[in-house]
Amino acid sequence: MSALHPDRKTAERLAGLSSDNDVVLDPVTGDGTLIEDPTVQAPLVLGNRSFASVTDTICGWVENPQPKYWTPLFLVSGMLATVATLMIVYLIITGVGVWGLNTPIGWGFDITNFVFWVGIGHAGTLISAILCILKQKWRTSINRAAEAMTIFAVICAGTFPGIHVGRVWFVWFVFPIPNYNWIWPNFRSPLLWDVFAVSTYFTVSLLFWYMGMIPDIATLRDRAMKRLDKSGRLLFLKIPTGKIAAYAYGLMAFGWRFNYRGWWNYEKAYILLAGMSTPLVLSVHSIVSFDFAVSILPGWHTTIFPPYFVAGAIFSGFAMVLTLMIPMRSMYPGMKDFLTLRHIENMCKIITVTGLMVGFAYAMEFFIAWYGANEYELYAFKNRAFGPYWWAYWTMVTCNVISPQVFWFKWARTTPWFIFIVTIFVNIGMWFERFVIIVTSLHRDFLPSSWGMYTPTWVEILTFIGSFGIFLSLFLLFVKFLPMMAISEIKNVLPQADPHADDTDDAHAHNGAGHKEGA
Amino acid sequence: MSHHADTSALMSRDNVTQAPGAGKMLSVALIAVGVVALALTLIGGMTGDSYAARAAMLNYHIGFIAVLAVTLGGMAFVMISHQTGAGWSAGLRRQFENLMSMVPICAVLFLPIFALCFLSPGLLFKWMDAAYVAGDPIYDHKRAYLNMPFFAVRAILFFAVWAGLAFVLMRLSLKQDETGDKWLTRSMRRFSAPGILLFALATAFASFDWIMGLDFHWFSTMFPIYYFAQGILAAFAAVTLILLVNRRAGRLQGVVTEEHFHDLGKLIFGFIVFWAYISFSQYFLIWYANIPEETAFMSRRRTGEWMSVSVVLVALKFIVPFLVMLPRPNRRNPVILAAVCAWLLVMHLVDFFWVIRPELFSSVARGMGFSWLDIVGPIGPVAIYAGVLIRTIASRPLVCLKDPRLPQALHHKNYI
Repeated sequence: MSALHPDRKTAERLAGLSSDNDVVLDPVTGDGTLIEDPTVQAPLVLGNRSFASVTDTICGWVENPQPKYWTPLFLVSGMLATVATLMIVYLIITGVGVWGLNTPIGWGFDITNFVFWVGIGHAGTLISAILCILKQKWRTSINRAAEAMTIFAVICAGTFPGIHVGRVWFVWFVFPIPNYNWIWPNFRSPLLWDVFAVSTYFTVSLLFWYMGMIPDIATLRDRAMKRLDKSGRLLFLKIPTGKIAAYAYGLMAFGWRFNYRGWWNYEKAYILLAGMSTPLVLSVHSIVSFDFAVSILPGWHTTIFPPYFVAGAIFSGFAMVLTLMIPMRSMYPGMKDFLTLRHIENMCKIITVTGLMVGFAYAMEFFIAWYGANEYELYAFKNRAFGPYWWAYWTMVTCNVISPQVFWFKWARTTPWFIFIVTIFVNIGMWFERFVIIVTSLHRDFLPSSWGMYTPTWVEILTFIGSFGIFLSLFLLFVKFLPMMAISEIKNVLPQADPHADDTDDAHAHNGAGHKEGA
Repeated sequence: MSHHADTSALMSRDNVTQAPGAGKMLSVALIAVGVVALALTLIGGMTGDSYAARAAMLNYHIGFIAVLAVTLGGMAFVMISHQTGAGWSAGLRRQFENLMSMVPICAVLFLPIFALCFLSPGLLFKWMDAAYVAGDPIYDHKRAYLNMPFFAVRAILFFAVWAGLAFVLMRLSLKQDETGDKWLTRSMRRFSAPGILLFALATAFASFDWIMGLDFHWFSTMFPIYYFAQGILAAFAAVTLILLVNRRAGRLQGVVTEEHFHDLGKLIFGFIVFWAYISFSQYFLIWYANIPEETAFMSRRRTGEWMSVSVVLVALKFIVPFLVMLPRPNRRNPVILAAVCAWLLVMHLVDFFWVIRPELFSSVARGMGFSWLDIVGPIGPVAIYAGVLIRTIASRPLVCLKDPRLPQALHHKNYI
């Protein structure tokens, strides 16, 4: 890393794009985004950018060659995705016996991975819907990528319940279609509600993500129209990439023409979809928690589960957003202008809060397990912490409750490489949380004769590792072909987008980077 | 430039303080009503049948728990807005602070309960009655937590935490009114971070001790969140009502506008849904699993007359306010907003009536046993609290006068 400030470095990289880049750095607050003065709103976009340079930079990530890490990363994740696919094929042609599941442990890696991936998905909807409704304008830099991440995480999540049923060709039984003799699925089962909840969530998230992207895809289309003669080469074949791009983006833009009526409908649809997505943030993981909590199994049946699962999901989702965005921030030119240290610091704070909520829930569960005076419940919790799976429990506590506490220190929550490491811990911790809940509650049944241990087979382990390949491949394709940030929304939070900044608020006029923020 | 001029005009003394002596009569009248209600409760409790003393005590407890919930809800919002650096709410934070600064009154209202734990153990919390719990294996298990010296120590600890938080946050905020030091905002923010943590723990265990402990066999991990959801909803309703009344009295013109009421309305709507989500989840998981030791609490509230209260609660604390607050124009209409807030505060009491009062009889077969004590009992603490609150509001500026985010709050707009 050079000693130059990221903002300067950006200016150097973008030389020619914005010649009037003369931001004066504050000696204390650096680029100004970490300013603590309550009278000054931290700038959301750095580099004194014009509207044109916002468009150029964000579209440039798609139009210019990808950073040099892209191809190796894609090859590795593509390979992992292939491994996952092969494992699934092997599972289907052989049977679920290739997994380590057996009485009494009927759920292992499969459902752990399902809950883990669904949880990851929550940050996207929280950022796009709830932060939109709370008018948190800093969300504009992260919402698009986080929503994409949500969709890919839900795709990974949906795979696992689909393949764990054993005979996948009967998986259509989960849909409310009567099969033999007019037999319907059991509507009283939370496993069926899961199907509805996750598919609704996926559909609405996809609509929200795609609809928000239409104007930006139209921008890419318009720019592609100017480069129709561009071509690429695959071995000895000449590919007219310019024409393909213009045609594909044109198709995907649904005829968007940036007219007044279009924007008017767009804004209305956006806020309506935000309103509809907000309850979904809570409902999906609440219903996932019902899978466990409606039972009478010690360790599964406890009333705090729905909000506790939601807090954990947001916790893991934000950790994954940072795990992805911190490296990308260094890889893509100019991204540090949009994804500032303030954005990262805010997300670290959310991680700390939700991590404490999760810790609070662990404490309440343990206290009530004792206070409830039910010997089986108490045993289940003692067994979690001190039984054969003690290492999983303490990994969970260390990663989820202890590791985010470093964010109480300002240095820790403003140093990207360090945050990256902590978010990896959080991801590990949240996977172990689901593993602990599922496996430790199952492995010792009420009768000691039904006790057992669960060891995953290589097939399960490779399927899980491979699911990261599916997730990352999709994400890498997203950053290559689609606009990673919402161009029009970012223009909205630029200082020059507020024509009344000077006549209502002189405090901000003296601060070149400052601007009004509705939050 | 114009901005300074118009801020100082809005901050004129007449606009941001109440008229001298305003609300004094109302406050005195409310305290008088409260004292009379207390006296009647006392008489009713001493003279009726064998259950009357417990009925009087439970009803007093309903009032106390309800006002404590409002106080804690206010405290939670103050700390959350410091933590998030909220600008829009800088003009209304003072009213949440007023609620928060009522912790000492709550402590005074708790004193009779505290004293009775020693004078007549078991009257309110049955586990304190040594004869009642003799040979009860469930109690024996919990003895390490539910025992008299520990209960008292915890109660003192809870109030110490709340009072400490309220005192420091209030003092810093009032100091900023005088000095205008913008860095006090940062001090309040830094103080709130560990503050929320302490607050959550104290509130959670207080809800276990004082509400869940009434039926000491029963337990629910969701309970603290349920109590918090009740409290923060009621705090929003109370603050909105206070602001609307002050606006009507010609104060806060241009400081708290339709835009702020719109946002308060949205938050009230959100927390109505949150309350419903939490209470439904708690009920639903207990109902579905159907484990006797948990279901006892719910089945009692689903039997006979209590079933009607349960239905009333769902219909009138959730469905009706939900539908009323859904359309945008209603959230911007002061009359509708005031009506909903007043209604939510009534339902706040009904909610605690539903939680606490069924513990009167050991046997479900005795039904509800509704008496005049159920009306008079909660009025005592509630009226005294309201009376003192009115004096507290009048004793301070109605706005955090020199909050550095006030200009941002004054220009706050909802475009959608």
